[in-house]
Amino acid sequence: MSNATTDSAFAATAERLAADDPAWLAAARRAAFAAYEGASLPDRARHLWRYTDPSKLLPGARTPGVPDDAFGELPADYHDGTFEHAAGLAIACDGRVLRTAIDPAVSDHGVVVADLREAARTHEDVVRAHLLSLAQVEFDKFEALGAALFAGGAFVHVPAGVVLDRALRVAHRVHGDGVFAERSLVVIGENAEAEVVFDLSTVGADDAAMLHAGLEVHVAPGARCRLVFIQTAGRRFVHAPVIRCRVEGDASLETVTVALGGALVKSLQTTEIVGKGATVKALGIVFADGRQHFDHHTLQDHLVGQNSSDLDYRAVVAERARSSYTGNLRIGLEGAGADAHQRNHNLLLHDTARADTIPELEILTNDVSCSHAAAVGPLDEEMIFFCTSRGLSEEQARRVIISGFLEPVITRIPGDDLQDRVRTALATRLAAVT
Amino acid sequence: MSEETLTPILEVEGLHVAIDGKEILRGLDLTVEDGETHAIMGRNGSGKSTLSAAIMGDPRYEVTSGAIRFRGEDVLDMPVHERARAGIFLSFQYPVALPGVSVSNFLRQAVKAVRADEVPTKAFRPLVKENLQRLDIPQSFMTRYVNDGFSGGEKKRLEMLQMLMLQPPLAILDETDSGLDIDALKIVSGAINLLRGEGRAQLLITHYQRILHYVKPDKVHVLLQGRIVKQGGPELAEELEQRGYEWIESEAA
Ligand SMILES: Nc1ncnc2c1ncn2[C@@H]1O[C@H](COP(=O)(O)OP(=O)(O)O)[C@@H](O)[C@H]1O
Ligand SMILES: [Mg+2]
Repeated sequence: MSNATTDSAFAATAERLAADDPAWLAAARRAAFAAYEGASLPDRARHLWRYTDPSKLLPGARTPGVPDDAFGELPADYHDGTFEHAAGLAIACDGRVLRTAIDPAVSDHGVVVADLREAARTHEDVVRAHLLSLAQVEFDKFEALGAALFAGGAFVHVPAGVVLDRALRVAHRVHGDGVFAERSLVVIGENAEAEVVFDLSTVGADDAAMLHAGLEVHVAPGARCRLVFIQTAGRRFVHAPVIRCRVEGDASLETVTVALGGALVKSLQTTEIVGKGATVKALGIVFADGRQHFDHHTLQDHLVGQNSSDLDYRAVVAERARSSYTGNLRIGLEGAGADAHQRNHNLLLHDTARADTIPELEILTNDVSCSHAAAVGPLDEEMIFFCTSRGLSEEQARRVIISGFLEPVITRIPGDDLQDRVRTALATRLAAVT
Repeated sequence: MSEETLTPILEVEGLHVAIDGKEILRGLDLTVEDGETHAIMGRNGSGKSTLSAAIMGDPRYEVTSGAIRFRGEDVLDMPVHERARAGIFLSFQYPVALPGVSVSNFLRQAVKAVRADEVPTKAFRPLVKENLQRLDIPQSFMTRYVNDGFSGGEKKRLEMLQMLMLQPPLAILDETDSGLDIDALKIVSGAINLLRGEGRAQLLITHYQRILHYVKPDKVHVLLQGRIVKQGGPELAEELEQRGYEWIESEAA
């Protein structure tokens, strides 16, 4: 439970950060902290908290994290100085952006990759118009905490009509065992096209930090955006991301979530679809073993109709790990003609592993096309027999089938280097549990 | 060496097989000599797929008594992958899909598991190419996921591709001919004929004799309610084509 001493330490942190913010942001930060303090813990009976004890996301005995610049070495594939893999990038540690770089050919078109706190001054018009406009700090205690304490994060702006041929990458690492917060903002202008990869890890495998992460994404009419979240943190990390997306008419948004690390991951991702002709796709994979606990919640909210959303989350759960998934699908009164599909499949590798899958459909209008499919179960015996009949050992067969199960999501990650990094990470994890 | 001293490729003796406690094979005997191709015919439900699954070692089928020997060695205690590595291949009647597993990746792993010594890494690609041509399969197959969204005919061709890549001493073809048009049937038959010869044997499971025009069997067996009730040469298949199965059923009754 929160206690007075630590809360005052966090109040001081928020205050110290506010002192450096422009006045409008300082006010928002203070309001967020007040909302955090004022909000009671979510009721565990409420659907979103059925599987995860909310008190585990409170700072508790933890203190505000002390930021460090010890990012460590960038993954070899990450940035070779030529912008071959990424048109722009931000390197962040402990919630603070250490460095940004952008291909001049891209920045000439007005594309921005910057530290969000700096951008609050340098790009005040765009940032102020969007920042915290989708977040619900009044309703979500932890989102409020993240908004009050964020020390940095990326601001990505792709102006109208600009089409990027390479992804933008944000690499973020945290260390220690304190509480960190970051916040990023992605604004994709009308008819622009961009891919943004958020690559999150801990500096060391034993770092036990807690990260409250906020992201807001605005996809303007006709724009196309793909967001990729790769999380490969150590086994003691606690991650509480809240991702809020808004997609306008004829725009498309695809999100690809790869959640591999952490002791506890409690993720919320909401998408408001506010225009006709919009296409929203959300893909996700979870690989859980040991005693890892993953809890993903998504909301596809069709505020108007004549658009589509399609969601496919897949989890592999081994040993004593647990993965919970709640997929909320809402089609409002104005949502006629919406096409919304949801699929959640869970492979359990051991009897002790657990997966929960809850579809929640709130459909307030007729004339929609909706479906949901959920499955929890062991590997298919027929597939194993087929593979072993071709000479693969049972172990090899299991690995091939499990990798195949995750592969369609991995192929959606931009860049062979990143795909291979994820495959390698998964292969190592698989080898340990099969 | 005289023929009599060669060990048969496959010997099945008094085989009883049950699934979910229900007895499907009820004392089946079958010997396939080195270099021979045998056809097993029988109506739907007579136990043909059960026999092939039992030889391959499908753990869902329980062998309650009897013996299966491959080149003189008892295989009943061998796990499935060891039977495959020893040289038994089953072309499935209904091959399953492996979503997310590319044909190329799967073939590579299978060849590595079964024929690592004969097919060094360098030789893999040219061998695939040669077999794709033989089977009239486009190169684009290689990047598709195994049997995922494949038509019936495509699945059978992919089974034949795997067979040619693995060059099994014993190939069991469970209704590989069914659902194929005449061109595909000729291609598939050609692949099977490539495997014929000394040191190998094939077991052709079918309920039509159509494929037997292209792959001439040395012996034909008729399976009825879990037992082989009649054996003969290729002329038996012709007779079945003309007269159907009733006369055998009444003969066996
Ligand atoms: N998985 C199963 N569970 C229960 N019965 C089965 C199963 N598989 C096959 N059978 C039964 O075993 C008998 C033989 O089936 P099968 O070997 O597939 O015959 P065939 O291949 O000759 O058509 C049939 O009566 C069938 O219903
Ligand atoms: Mg059959």
